[in-house]
Amino acid sequence: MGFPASSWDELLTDVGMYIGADGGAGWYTFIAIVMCIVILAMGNQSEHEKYDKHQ
Amino acid sequence: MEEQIAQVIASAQVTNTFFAETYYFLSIPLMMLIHVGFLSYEMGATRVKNVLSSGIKNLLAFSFTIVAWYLFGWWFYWALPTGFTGSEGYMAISGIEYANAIALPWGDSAQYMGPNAGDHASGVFWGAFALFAATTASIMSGALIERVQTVGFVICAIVLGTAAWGIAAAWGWHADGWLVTQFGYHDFGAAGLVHAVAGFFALGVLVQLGPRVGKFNADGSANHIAGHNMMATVIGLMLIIVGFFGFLMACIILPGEGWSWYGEHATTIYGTPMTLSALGFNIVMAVAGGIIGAWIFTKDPFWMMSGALAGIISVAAGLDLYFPAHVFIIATVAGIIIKPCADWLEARGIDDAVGAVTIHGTIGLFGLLVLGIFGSGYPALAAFAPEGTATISFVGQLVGAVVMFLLGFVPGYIVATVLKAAGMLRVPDAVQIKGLDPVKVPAQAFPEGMASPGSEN
Repeated sequence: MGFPASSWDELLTDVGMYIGADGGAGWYTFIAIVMCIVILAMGNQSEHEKYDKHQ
Repeated sequence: MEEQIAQVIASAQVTNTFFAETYYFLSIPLMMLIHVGFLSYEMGATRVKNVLSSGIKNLLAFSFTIVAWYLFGWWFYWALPTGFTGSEGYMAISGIEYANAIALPWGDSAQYMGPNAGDHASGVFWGAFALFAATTASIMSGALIERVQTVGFVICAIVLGTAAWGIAAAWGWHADGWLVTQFGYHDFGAAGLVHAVAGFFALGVLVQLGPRVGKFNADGSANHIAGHNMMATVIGLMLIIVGFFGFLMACIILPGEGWSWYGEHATTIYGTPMTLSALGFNIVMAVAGGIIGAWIFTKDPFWMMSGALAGIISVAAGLDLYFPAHVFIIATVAGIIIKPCADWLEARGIDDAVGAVTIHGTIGLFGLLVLGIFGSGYPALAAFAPEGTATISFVGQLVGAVVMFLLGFVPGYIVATVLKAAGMLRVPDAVQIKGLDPVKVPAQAFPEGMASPGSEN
């Protein structure tokens, strides 16, 4: 986390300059995947509850 | 003197790089207009009781496809051009090893999947491809309106927009793609690998989804289910056309960059020469031809604007090669045949609510084959491609058409079968009759009036 480079100039080379470039990117990606799956599961459950109520 | 010349050259390179970055960046908001169009078009084509549900479906298809494209679709595109083996191709810009190095959002390759001061290309190319993916997924959307479940549809959109299209693009829209190198497949504007794949994926889903309640009578005859707002539908279709300019301008590889095919010439994605001027001539001629062709027999603005789409799709594969008058002829024919093709499908019990299977699927394949007839012998790859590389041919386009049909229909049918078995595909009939909006949307499209017959909304 935090500033990943050792100097300002290092940001201008061909490397990632985002927050997490020192190894956090994979964790952000993992959390994003989990969020998508959970949100879809919750959405599906909610949708079916509504259908059940109106049949 | 030499130092000054070097400075001028370096300065010109900086300008070229920023021009290229800006060019692709601006294609992204233009392509967003396609989705504005889809939203307006599909909401207009639904009945009042389903308007908001239809819009929600479109918004979610766009959003989840974009995220899925980031997570794994981009990787498919770079990993699989030579086939499922994932080996490296002749141009050395493909294969699993290459994709692992540039297209995974974790590990070392993550530096090319986010802000990077030394990389002015990855983000704008990824953004343009993400919009291609979202467009492919959204094409299916209209066909399924008023009876598909939201989450089930989102899963279909993810499979179509990332896996099916990602693989189709890898095989047929990449200089190492096996359809290109072995068969000379040429599909500049994605008639097959976007439109046909999306259209026939939709058909695969429709077979399992079934028609809307009330669409067919007991004797098999069909009823016309009119949408609530023809103006929104027609304007939406025109907005899709506007967005196509962004879609097609992003299909060009600009010159003078490290990733360009040539220093001085713009090319197609295959490295064959072309100009933006070619698109200036041909896109607008295709729109004109498609509208006129559809007008001849339908006199209906919905089909006329659908004809405009069909016109572009019919010549998309060869927009870089056709003469404008030739474009007009092909597009006019496409406009003429869409309504009979849609009627033929409906007579077989398929309820394609907006004609997506015909306009995108059938006309996409038609466009591939027409280019095979007229473009035979043209080079399929850059001049420095390996000896014996195939040229454009009818057989090559036919093989590509079959592959694109299968890449669409088979996964569409399979994913729909799985979703149906899980009870996640079709909205229950009672809910369809009542209306999707009153059942699951906490808002009304027209709170001060307007209701569908038999609905509470």
